[in-house]
Amino acid sequence: MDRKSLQKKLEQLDLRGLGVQISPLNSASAEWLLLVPPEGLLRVAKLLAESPGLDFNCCENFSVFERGSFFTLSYFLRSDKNKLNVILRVNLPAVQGSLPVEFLSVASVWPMILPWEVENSLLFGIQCRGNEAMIRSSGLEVNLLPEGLSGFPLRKSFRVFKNADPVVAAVQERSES
Amino acid sequence: MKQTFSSDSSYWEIGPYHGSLPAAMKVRLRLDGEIISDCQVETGYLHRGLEKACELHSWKSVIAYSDHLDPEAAIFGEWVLCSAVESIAEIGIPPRARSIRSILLELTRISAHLMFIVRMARAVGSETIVHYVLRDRERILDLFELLTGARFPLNFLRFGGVRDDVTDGFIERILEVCEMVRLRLKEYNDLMTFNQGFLKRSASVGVLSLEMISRFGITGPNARGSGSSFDLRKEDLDLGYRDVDFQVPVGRGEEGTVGDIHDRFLVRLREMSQSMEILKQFAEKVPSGPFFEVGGKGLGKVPFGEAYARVESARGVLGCHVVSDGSEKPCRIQFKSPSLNHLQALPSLVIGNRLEDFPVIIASLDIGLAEADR
Repeated sequence: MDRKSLQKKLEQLDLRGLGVQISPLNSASAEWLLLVPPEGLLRVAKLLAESPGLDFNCCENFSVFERGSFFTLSYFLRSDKNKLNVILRVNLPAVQGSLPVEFLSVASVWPMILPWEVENSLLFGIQCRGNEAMIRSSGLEVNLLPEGLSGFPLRKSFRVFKNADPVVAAVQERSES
Repeated sequence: MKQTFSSDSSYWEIGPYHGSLPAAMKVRLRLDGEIISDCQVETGYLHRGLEKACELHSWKSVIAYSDHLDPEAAIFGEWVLCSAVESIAEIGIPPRARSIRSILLELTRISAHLMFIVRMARAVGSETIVHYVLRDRERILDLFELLTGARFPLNFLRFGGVRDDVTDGFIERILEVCEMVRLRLKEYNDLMTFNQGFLKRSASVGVLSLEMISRFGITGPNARGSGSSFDLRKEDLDLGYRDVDFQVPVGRGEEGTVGDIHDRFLVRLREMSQSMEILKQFAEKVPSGPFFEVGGKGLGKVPFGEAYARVESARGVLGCHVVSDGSEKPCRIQFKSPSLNHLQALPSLVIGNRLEDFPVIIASLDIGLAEADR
């Protein structure tokens, strides 16, 4: 399926009615970028995964970054059947410090995304709700951070040397003073 | 404890450091006699904060960090990072540099697959082949040393090309090594692939179905061993394999069931053979010209933007999402490692198998914990 046919299919789904902004991408890794309002993510995800002719069967990657006042969540989708790639994107207001942010899980649609959702809850504090039972039954436990570490390391507000080895922290403080 | 005494089950906790594990991780098994009835995998012991470290350093130095994503197959991390940055900064790559990069990718793929054979041989207790394969892998590491001065973390790619041009005699030595590995593959087949002892441990054991491939998002040789023909080198024409003639080997269940350990082993051997064909084609027509695009030299700042690049690594699809805010340091670098998907499949794969099969199953998945934990 080429780019124009994909655009036609996306328009048939009436995604704009759900508040989705669709913009083209000049990238080898994806044809279209779909900016979705946070509350509509699960519905759009189901539509993309289940609509005949689209069949986005795989969420290849789930990446989060913080820029300006937003956490931007990107879901990199692939349709093996139609050889298509799109990026699904959600912007959440950024939170400073160690307060977690609650969001929806899309692991019920794309189960392969589960460890990445866990990773981002540990490193970014974006806790995806609705995947708890799946995490328990998956048999995979992702523990990336030492016990007792407060804060989320990939947030811009996280001070790298705050919780580091005391010797490293002392050297850092000395050099700062 | 109460549960243990009141049933026939026993509980084993293996790791974080154990010979049957690929690296530091923990596995909790519940056994019903010899049969594994439950499996819990705990990972994260190798988390180094690699992505955070990238955010704290200049664009130029993150290439060295990307090497450490998967030290056994370092060039894939470098490739995917450079590709994403070049896409944001709109830096072209000279054809000669593109060709040198592709040669390095395929050499690394062979080297990684040879290491896979070593791990499989150790898992089934076949010591002889371990020494043979390691001896042959040294020849590939020698080639890396000849070209880059390093054997493992190569730190050789640069935004816009490669660090140095190929040295005298490098291309000829690639062809020599290809010929040597081609002959050795026959030896490996005699010693291992069709050895009755190995067949008993691998045929119809640890079967990865196509449904599991789809559910866990498994890619690479593990997926192809189960009959999936997805190979990014064929799917993405911008990866530089457009004019290269090669086949994608898939598992056919020749000695047991489609998607068993033996298929995963066989697919990797055949992929090595295909990589040698690819290498020969690249080596025969390395274009002349510069090996570095001047626009990328001394790239202090990357323009505001983002890109996602992918490559077919030795373990599967490796992705890299790079975000730049226009400053001297990356705003975000995220790696999508295929090994985390493979780890996800491990509990389902081992349940129902015997304890003695556990090390062979885990070795057959070729999990790179360094890239999974990052």
